[in-house]
Amino acid sequence: MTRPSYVTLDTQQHKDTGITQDPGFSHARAFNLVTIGFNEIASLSGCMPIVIVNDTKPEYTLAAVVGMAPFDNLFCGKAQWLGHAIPLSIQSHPFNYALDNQSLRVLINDADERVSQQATPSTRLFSSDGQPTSLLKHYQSILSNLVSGQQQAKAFIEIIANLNLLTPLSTTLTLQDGQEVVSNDLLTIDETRLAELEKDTVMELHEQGVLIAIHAMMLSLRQYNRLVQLSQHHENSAVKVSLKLAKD
Amino acid sequence: MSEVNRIVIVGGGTAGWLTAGLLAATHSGADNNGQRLSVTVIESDAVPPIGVGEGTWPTMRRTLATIGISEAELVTQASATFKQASKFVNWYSDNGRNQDNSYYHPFSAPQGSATLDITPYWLTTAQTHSHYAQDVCFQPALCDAGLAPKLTANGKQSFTANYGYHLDAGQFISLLRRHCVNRLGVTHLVDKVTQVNTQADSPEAGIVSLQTQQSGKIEGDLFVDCSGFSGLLINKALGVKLKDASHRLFANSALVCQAPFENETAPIPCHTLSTAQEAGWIWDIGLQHRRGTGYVFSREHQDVDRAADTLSRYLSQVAPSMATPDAFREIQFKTGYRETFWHNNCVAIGLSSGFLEPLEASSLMLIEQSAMLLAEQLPANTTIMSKVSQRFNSRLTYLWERTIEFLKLHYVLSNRPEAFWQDNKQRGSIPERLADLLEEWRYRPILDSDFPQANEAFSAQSYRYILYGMGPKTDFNWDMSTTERSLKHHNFATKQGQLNQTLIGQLKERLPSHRGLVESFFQS
Repeated sequence: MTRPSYVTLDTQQHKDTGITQDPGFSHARAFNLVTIGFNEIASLSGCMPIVIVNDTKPEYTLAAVVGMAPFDNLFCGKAQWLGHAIPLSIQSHPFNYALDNQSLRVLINDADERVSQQATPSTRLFSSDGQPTSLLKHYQSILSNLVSGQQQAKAFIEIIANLNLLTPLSTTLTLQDGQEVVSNDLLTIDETRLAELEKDTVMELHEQGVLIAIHAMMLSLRQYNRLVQLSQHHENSAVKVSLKLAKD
Repeated sequence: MSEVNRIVIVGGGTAGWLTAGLLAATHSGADNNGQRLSVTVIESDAVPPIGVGEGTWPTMRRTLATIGISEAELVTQASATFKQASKFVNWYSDNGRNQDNSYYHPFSAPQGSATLDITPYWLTTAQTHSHYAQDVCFQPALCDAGLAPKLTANGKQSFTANYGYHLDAGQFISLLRRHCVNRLGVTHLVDKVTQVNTQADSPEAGIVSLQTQQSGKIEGDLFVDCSGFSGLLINKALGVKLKDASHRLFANSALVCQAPFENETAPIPCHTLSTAQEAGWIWDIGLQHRRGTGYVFSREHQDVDRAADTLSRYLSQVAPSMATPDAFREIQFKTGYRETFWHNNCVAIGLSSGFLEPLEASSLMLIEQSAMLLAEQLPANTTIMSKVSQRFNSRLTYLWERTIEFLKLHYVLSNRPEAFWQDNKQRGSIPERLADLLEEWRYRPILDSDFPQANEAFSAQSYRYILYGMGPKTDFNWDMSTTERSLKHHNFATKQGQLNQTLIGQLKERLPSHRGLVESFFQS
């Protein structure tokens, strides 16, 4: 893969730039964990496990599990995405953003293979009057959702971490040949401590819209079974997954 | 009794070809005996089409679908762009405060109108600075932002705001002609009609044949007069007079100018801009590569030289290179309509049936309505023709009268000080029905039931956009205190106002610019 070369998207410089679509999102083929925003929990939690990644200490990140060693991204099919929900950061490719004093600057990876300098009417980013096409507006809206979602995610993690609601999650994947693949670097909600919260705290979490996200995260762990199922198309597929929640 | 199998249309302008297309497409099959309807258009190459009808209503989408012309063909072959509204600028005066003196008449209905008309709630809470259309409908905001009414060329699955078209009349005629001849089997004769042969001893038989310069005698069962102002059949041959309406609508001349965009990638306005002037108003519509402009004015109130100055002044702001009277063409006209539109076996459609100033783009609409009705009601034989023609005449008379009233509404509400505008407010010039309704509307909102016909030319909603767009800024005051007794859905109305704002935000994030949408129709 070519090294990404992100530049600020510019009406003049990119007036003939076009983006082709890739319904399979093959650029994400090697991904296992994808950073997601708080606003994505609702749509993604019915499709893939939502966890907190703790390998980025001191900051935790909210993430969706799209794949596991040795399979990588299990949702990347040959010509399509094998799920009903797609994380925004995958959808936003080949764009990225920078924040300048809270204002969003759109970046584009000029080196990406989906980027062409000979746009057609259906791939172009700007019309001749210099205005963004509906295609670019689609990406701009993804990026702005991404920014707000990630800012909210930070606040969300702070709340649940302060309440000591996080606990390590260990997953063990058993493959067809009997091999076991263990992963230990994830966190999830500690159900016991959640049950012990004061009524007022629970009410507060409910009013903040945080409680539903906590529950969605817990329920999303069921989606590990979907990952096992998706691995059936692969060699030496997984036969089962077991989850273990450990106290620190 | 004889069957109606042969239709002969005289005149190949927009009216002639739209009528031919609708007739041929509607009656495209054969009867039990294999008999088909034959449609012939006789077009003189000596008479150029007037070609000012460049704005359409949303109805044109259905008309074109019936004829079988796709939107993509219209955009790529007739320089068509999209029209979401009319914007009226300076139709009222704010006594020199120089604020944004404009209001919109959008094609989309107010938020929530499928459930409830929220206008009465707006009326009881409106402030003098409120803008009715902006408060109840998302579309003015799209126009202000230069955005398209839909996402893509094939936007069938996604959001679509209501829209009509702006188009190049000359190219539109060529497109219709090609389509009618090549795909609908319409016979096209380029010839000049030299004589209209009528059957003198049998008046109900009407026209028997037309003598042409090169193609000999052309016989027909039904003749459609689309010959333009000259009214070759309806007037010259059959003597049907024009009912004058110049005491209602005073404009009787138009200076027309086609101005190229100063820059070929300039944004294209997605609405008709109508700017009031001393003795009339200037239209300004954006096609793909040029604007179509013109000053409709009353020669009784302004002489043509001063009118040319007025148009020059306007153009110097938007298209400086064209701001010279040499570039203008004057079309004088007489406002009025035929006493009967269908006389014996002759139907007048287009300019031969009458003329109204182009305010609210009613000319193409009246052509569509007439041709649609003719195609739908086409009599099987001559015995029943008089019944059909009676219905046609009463329907068309109704449409023309209602259209005149609606156009007059724009003038009646204005508070501009010039003589042209003040004369327009003279009681004697206002149709009685309109005057009565205006009196009632001081004490109650406009109701759908004020316009009881199934197929009104202008709906109650169009009236609302004009009356409440302009009324609050002028001297049209209302007292809705008794109306308040019947208002029970304040929460719903408030919610619609909020939904409207939310929708505007969402649409701005998604819709391309108007030019962007047009470009998406062209494959590179």
